[in-house]
Amino acid sequence: MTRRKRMIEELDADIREHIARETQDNIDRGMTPGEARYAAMRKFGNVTRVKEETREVWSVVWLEQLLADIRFGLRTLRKSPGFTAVAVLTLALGIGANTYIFSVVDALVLRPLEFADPGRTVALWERLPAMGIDRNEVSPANYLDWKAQNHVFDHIAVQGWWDANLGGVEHPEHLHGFLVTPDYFAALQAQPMLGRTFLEEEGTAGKDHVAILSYGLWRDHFASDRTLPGKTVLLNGIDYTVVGVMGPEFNYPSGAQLWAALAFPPPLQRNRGSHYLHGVAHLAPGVTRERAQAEMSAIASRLAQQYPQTNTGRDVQVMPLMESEVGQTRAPLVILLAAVGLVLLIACANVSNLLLARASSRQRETAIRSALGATRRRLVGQWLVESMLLGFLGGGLGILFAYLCLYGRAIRIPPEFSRMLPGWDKISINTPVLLFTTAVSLGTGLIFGFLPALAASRLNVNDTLKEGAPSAGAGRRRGLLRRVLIVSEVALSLALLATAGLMMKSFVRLERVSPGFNPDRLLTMFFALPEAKYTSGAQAVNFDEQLVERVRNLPGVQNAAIANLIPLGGANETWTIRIEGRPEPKPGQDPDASYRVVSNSYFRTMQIPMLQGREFTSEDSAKGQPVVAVNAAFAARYWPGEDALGKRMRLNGPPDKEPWQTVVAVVGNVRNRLDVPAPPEMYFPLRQQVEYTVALVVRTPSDAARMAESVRSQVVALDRDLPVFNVSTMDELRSTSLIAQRIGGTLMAAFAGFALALAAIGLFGVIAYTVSERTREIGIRVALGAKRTEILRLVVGQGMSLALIGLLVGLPLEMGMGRAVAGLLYGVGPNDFETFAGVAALLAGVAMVACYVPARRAMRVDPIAALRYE
Amino acid sequence: MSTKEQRERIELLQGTLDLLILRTLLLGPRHGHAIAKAIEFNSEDVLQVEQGSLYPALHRLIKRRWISVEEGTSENNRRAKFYKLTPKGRRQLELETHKWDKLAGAIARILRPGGQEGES
Repeated sequence: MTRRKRMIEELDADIREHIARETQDNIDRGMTPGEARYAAMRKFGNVTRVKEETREVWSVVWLEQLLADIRFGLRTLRKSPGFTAVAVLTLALGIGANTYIFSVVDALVLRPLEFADPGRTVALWERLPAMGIDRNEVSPANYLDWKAQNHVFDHIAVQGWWDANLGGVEHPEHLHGFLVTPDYFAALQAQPMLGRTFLEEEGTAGKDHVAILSYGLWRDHFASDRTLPGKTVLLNGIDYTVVGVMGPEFNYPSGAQLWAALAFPPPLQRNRGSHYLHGVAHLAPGVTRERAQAEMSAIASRLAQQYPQTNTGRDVQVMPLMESEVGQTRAPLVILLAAVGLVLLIACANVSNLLLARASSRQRETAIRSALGATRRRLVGQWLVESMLLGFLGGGLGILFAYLCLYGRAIRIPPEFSRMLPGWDKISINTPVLLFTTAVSLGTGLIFGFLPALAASRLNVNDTLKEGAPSAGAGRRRGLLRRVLIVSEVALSLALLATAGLMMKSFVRLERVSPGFNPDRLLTMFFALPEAKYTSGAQAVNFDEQLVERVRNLPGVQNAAIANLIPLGGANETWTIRIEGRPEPKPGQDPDASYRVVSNSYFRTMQIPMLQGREFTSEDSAKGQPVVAVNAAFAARYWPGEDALGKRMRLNGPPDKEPWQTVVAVVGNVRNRLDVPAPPEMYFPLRQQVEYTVALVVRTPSDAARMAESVRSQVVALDRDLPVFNVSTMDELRSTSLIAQRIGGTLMAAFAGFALALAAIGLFGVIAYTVSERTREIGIRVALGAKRTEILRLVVGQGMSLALIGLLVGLPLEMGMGRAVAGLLYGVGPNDFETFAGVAALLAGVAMVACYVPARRAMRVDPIAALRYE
Repeated sequence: MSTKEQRERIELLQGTLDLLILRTLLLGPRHGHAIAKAIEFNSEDVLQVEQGSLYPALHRLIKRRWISVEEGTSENNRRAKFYKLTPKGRRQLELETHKWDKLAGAIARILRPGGQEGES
């Protein structure tokens, strides 16, 4: 730039110098100074023009050309509104879908947690490589040892789920609370908005009744009271001092409403068997994650030697917190993004085809421009500018589409579920998303514009300009290009259709899986009895039984029961056990089973088949003989080929605390997740294993949701301070448990449908175009006696051969996609023949229709008219 | 405009001037006036450059980095800008000369179809 300026500035001096020399030469030849100067000036020519021309050499011609091209492009696009509308709409749908999916990926995968120091905050899990378990929760004693022995973290903390009933307000409410050790916020590098975070001493029993509120809770329940820190709130019937309020950006764990201090009373400090805590830590300055991993593994193996019974085979997993949080959602979202990218490619191919057809009809224009001296580069540039304009118009409209999808709630997720999805609340069309869309639009314009531009600029000016010349010539190569585009469209569509087919089939399979109980008309809700109020187990059991009795007496209610956990509810609890008469298991090889505590009426209410033995009765109380019911999977695993009835097992623990329990029933298997076969399960009677946070299940006469209010009122009638939470029907739970599969399958099906439509339109366009191009030829054939059906076969055959090539080319693609989604499938192999054959047949059928319509026109060609054509 | 009284002189084809400038600079750096003089002299005044048109051409060559500029002192001790061939320009000159020879040869064959048949 400066060079250019300097050059132009110095030009003046240069010219003056030149004329002075020439004048001097002339004087030397004997002219008078006046004559000499005049002659020199004449010989030099027009000084102003010279300066102008020189300046032009340095000016940014391309920019002016670009502006001219843009103006010209806009004018041509306006002149053919039909073409422009179709192209822009196609692109807008493609780019819009990409923008939408990317906005979800951006929020959920790329930036779900906006922490100060995401790179150095890690999640800590226990790991059991021998059992293939990557992430096991941490036990209290292990955590305390990690904290005491490590030198790689400057902050380390654990967190655990906490049911908190907010009292002292008009409507008691259950809160999603978490108990955290004092260093928790420091490990996440989070600062409170008001007040302070926890102090070290607040992590000791007796000083732990302190709480920090989330922004949402503070705003909605405490009217954004800035003087709240220092005041007390009633949680589970106990006064907690509020010490701080977090800002709106802090949402970890996702959905947390408040945090209270976690203290370990002495018995817990020695507990290595209960794994229920989630670890987070912040790397000390200069420590890499690899070094932290090495040191933690060393600590773990020391602990394994020290406490072989509980710690054998237990390693530590140090993973970036981000990785730990988004690992689950990333794979399906990336697949969706890839799929939507393929859709855009197909849209590009279609617009490319449109442009090629346009290039044919604009041959004369191009030829004239070329004859008038436009270089090839200039011609290509002009075409590219036009396609970029289309890209940008499509992008603009696409953003609008994405907005509509986003704010029209194209993806619906129940709030109980989305609250747990970190980043869900942050999905929006923001700057990164807009940048992405701009880049995509630009790239799109280049991709679909490049081939047609090259093809359009490569033409023989002479032939084209000859009046009435048939538009063959360059058209042949262009025809090949169009066919290649169609083949790739068909191939890509096949891959997308197959993926969608696999996912839908998997979804249908899952929907049809019998959960092992009757899910119809079941109402479920949870409540957490505060231990401060229900100080003895008997009191809690009494409450539960009274509630069941009251609910059962509601008009129409068929049955009601209590359980600590319900199937399809998303939670599970596994305990290690001992089987009577078996040798003590080797360290790290404890047998285990899912742990259920249920009221007497549970099996009847849920309609879980009683295979052997008897129901629990009121005799199965704290004073009675300890009993247990096991499921068929349990019996088959631990007493294979034997009769399980009358056998004994107990929970793993000190024998004086965990007595032998006699099996009194074998019940049917129940799935906790539809996609996983039932694990061994054991059911304990409510009166013998007290649980404070439990679910109430009610079999209602008709629509379960309509009973919710009257059932809730029975809870309030017994304890007006007790909130219920997670109220939902079993149908809702069931569909929520399949939500990822449903959303994935639906979106994939929508994308595939769009791809199919695009491919069909593309095929139709190409065949229609060749028919119109070959009208004369077809006319001659008819005139020479070709039968109409032969013409039909000719045209359809041409189209179908393209489609078939596409299907063949698409086969490896489809198998690749199948493999990519294999991990998301249930009951369907990644190379499912039925699906592949089905989508191939569908695609072939649609292609047939797309060819048949233009073929009919070819069939009706009037030979006389055709020969006069053009 | 300038050709009224000089019919026998040939106006330069566009682009040819560039070639001539490069050729002239092959003999060493020169200032603008000297380049114009050299072209006129070497072509025995047949090629008449409108001297001003030299400057846009020079700048075009600078922009393409075929020649460079440096300050210097001329023979009579006046400060002047000297234009100098760059290695890139030297290569370009070879290329252009080769092309020119081919073209000139082809035209010559067409204009004087002597012994051999011109292959157009």
